[in-house]
Amino acid sequence: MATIVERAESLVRLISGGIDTSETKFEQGFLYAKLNEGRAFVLRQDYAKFKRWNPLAIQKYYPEYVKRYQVTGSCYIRFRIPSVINVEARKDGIIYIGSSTKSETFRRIKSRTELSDFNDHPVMSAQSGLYTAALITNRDVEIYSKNIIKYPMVEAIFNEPHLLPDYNIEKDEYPIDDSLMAQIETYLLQQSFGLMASTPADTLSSGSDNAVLQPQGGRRR
Amino acid sequence: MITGAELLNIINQEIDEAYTGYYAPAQWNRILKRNYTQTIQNIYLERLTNRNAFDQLSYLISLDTVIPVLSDNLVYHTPIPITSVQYNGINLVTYTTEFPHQLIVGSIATVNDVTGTLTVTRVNQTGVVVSTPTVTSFTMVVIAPNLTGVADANTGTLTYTGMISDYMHWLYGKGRFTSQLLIGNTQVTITDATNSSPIRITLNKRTKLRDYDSVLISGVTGNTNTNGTRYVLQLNEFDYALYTDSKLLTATVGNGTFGGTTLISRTVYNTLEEKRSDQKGSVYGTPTIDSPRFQQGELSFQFYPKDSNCDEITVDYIRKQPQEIDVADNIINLENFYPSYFLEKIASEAGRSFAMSSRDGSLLNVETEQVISNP
Repeated sequence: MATIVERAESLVRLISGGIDTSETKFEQGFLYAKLNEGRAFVLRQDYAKFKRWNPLAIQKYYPEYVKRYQVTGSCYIRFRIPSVINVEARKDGIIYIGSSTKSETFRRIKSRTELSDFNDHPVMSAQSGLYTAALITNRDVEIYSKNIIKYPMVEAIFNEPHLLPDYNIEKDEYPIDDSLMAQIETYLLQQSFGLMASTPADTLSSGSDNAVLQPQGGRRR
Repeated sequence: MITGAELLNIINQEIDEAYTGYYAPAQWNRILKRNYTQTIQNIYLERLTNRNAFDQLSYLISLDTVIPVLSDNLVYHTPIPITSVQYNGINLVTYTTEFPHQLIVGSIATVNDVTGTLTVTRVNQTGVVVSTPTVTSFTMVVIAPNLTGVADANTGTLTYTGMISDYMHWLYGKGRFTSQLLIGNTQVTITDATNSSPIRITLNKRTKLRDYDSVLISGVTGNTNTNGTRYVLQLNEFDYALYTDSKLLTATVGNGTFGGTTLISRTVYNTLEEKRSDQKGSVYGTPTIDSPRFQQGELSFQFYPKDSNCDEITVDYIRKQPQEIDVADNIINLENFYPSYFLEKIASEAGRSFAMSSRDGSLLNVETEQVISNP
């Protein structure tokens, strides 16, 4: 069980000859961003292959009710959630959205057109009290219900798992399978860190960009 | 016995005879001083492969030294200069410092090197601070009063607990930061604390607290044993049991009914990385308590993030040289201060520095081989 701090350190060791002296040139935030980028890439590939999300990658998030997010006079309650991974145009990484206090899944509405049809239905509408609808656009979740919903829960594959408010970066496991971690390292070494290794650092604040991308093969021609 | 002059002979034996006298003694002293820090740092970093060398140098390095951070997330690494000394004619001396000190009433302060016609043996003292009129002045009682004379301006230095007065070079450090527990910008509070053993607290939100985490609790009335530095055992998403030790062996004991407006902060101890100038504008380089930074100034270390309180650091550093190496000296036995192998090593490093500056490729190869074979 490795935390994000351990994953980042193992990345640094891979590109530093097995040593991390705590004087690495890579900031922690940068390493975490790269790890998350690699994780998203690998998980998308994994989903495309097996048509299911890796269960170790799923996290729970409990959106907070914030009064200033609410639209005056609206018939919904609005929450914000962290960004989630998208696979393709019509499939994102949200696995479940529903109540956190009882067994109730909210009906996922995909567009406002569908929402309009839903609310016009004599039985299915949110005002009937039988169903709760959730419309998600970007990071906003609009919940339509006859009851006041203040404690929803979202299970999803988040883009930045370490930024969830109840995620402890030093103690909680980084949400990725170890077997997929190997693929992440390969992806990062070939793409990001390989590119950085062949590009000289422009450390002079002179107003001109002295870093020249090396052509393939790493040698100037 | 290896004196400074003998050390220069060792260096001359390493480099070509024709180069003898190439550098003046003062230049060799500078080279040796530069190599002193570099050599110790290399041995420190290679410790796992050369434990014997590390053990021999252990008294030149200070390891795991705990320094309290008194205020402003700042620790001085150099004695603070004193600009003036005033005697009130009775029994108090007021010292004015060039930079803000961190003393409070009751602190122990040591003043040295004040000169002048003022009875300096009395003003150069270690004593208890009785008042701090400003951030740059403090007052101590003078022993055996009725001083006469005037102190010279801008003479004297101040040291106290909470400084690294023998600091030369930073090797590694970590800092203890305390930050209010927040979810977004909403403060987490305690809604209940049971009158039991261990005390079981309930928080109003899900947090990132996990087993063995350290918290600082204040504001609890009734069940006041909840207050203080405590270690938590997570029971569920909202409930934690409190212990007084980091191994969770000694449970807290409830002593009343919970009440009050509570404040709970999280305390973490993390590695301090240097706040490099090329990262100051970087978003990824923004200091947090999970990724804290330090910046070295002329006299002090500043720790970030500044909006979270840092109250302690644990640091490895190279101490000031116990004895300056002077290649013109043939009296002081340097082996009383340094292991002989270390002296030979910095001689080899000095030879290598010389080879690089004189662009002698073959000499450089020989000296590099010497350095590698004498780690």
